[in-house]
Amino acid sequence: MPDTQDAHSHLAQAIITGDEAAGIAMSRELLSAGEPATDIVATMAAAMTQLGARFQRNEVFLPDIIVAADAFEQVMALVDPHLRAQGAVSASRGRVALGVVAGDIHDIGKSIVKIMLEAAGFAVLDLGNDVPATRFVEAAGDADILGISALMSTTMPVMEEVVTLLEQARLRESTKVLVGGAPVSADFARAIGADGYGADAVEGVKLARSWMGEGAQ
Amino acid sequence: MSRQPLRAVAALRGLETDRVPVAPLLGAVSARLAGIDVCDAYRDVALQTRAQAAAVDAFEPDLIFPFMDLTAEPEALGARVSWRPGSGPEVCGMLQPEQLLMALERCEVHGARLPVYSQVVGALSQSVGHTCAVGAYVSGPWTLVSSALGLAGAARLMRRDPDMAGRLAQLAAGFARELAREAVDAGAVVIMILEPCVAGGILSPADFGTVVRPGILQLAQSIRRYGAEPVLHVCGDTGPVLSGLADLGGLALSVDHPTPLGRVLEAAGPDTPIMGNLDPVNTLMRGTPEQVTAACRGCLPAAAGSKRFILATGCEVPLLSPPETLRAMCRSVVESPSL
Repeated sequence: MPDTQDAHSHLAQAIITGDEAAGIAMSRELLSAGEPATDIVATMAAAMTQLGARFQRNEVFLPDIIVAADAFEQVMALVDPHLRAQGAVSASRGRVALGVVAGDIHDIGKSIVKIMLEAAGFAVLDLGNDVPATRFVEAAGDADILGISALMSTTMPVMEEVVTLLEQARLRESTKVLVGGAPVSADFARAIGADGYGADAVEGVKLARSWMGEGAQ
Repeated sequence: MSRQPLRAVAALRGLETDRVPVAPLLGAVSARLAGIDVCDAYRDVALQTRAQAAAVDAFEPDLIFPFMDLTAEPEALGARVSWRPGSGPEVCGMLQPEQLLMALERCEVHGARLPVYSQVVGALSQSVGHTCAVGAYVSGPWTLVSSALGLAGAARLMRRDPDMAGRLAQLAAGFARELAREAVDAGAVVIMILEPCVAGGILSPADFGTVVRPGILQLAQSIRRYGAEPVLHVCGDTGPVLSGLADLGGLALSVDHPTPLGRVLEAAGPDTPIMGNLDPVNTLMRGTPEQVTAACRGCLPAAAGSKRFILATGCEVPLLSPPETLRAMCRSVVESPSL
């Protein structure tokens, strides 16, 4: 068996290449050797962060992210009982409810954000397109973060409406609001009282991770 | 004596034109502006034709298509589609690869709403085709696979089972070829291949080259053989696949605002027809008529090196765009014929 450091390195490589079998085998070995489940998760998270950075540089592409996320998920299923035994209650990094306030055929961006969030270990509730403000607020009860995308400037006011309704429902303090989409800007996000703006999928995931107390890497 | 081709077709063929042709990619916005229910217009030949014919009368574009609808083909292949009042259709029930394979092998191009589109092409050809070139859309191979399987499902297949991904893309190209033939028979003189699902970091240049490129090349060749002009439309940032798009034997490219015209020209050369690339949202929908005119004129330096340029929106005109900006776009080429 490789030493622990090598095993972590092989695990990271298995995640990056989407090799589920190797990822599971390496995690089993690490667990057998007494490595804490949280360290295994940390290794995988670092691998996903590295992959996200390479995606931003056009060095890897969506299929690579997908298979890496699949491998991540498979290993998480193995590690989850150990995490719980360690007292790390939630296996996911956080819960994100994600939707487009009004739809057209351009919801590819939202789909990529969803994939990247799941790849980073978030549990994502996809609310779909044409989501009314009230639906976002309903979902806020089960989410740490609301991810709101607008594809048209005329629908951007719905984002502000969500923030207002969250305040009225006394959910604003417990829910982070992340906005994005072609016509949206950081200035607009600040103006409506959102917590953050993601210029692209990777930036959005970095923000979400920092809000979950991990710090953007 | 053969008739002079319409301006947009002439530009695509590299023939002399009196001015730069203009093509806002008008879709469901035409229904809204004509006071027609958008959902009804997606499904009804007469309503969609009336909406698009009214838009041709109002704005005088050089090229008109039916509505851009990436759900019609997946629906005809068995995917479930949902409708929301005031908006368009959306695929809500994806297929599994094996289901898509069987459906594509059957190659039934008359299912669900597909006949609506060829009939709209036929009706538009009759009503406005003498002054405005009438085109038709078909989904590109990878966009059809992605629409039917879901973006994630298609991306997963690309890595897990590249042979199956390639087989589906090839069959999808064959399906598009049959749709294109129907559209040309109905009167389409331009066929735009919609392939947004290769851009924005979705596919690598290698994936594009091995899985998607062969189907697009064959599709374009067939469209030319049927007697129409093929155009490949990729909205969003073409980024790393731009060199692959530029290496498709001079196939006309329609690009969106994140892809600078200068870069396309540099990659594809002056003989490749180019359409683009006004920002549909920030210019057509949010901008003023003056801003639209300025944006159109801003295309001049970038497009100056192209012998075959059509001023177009980078994608379909957003539903809520005002008529004033559409009019400004179409007028800009009349007022500045050479841009």
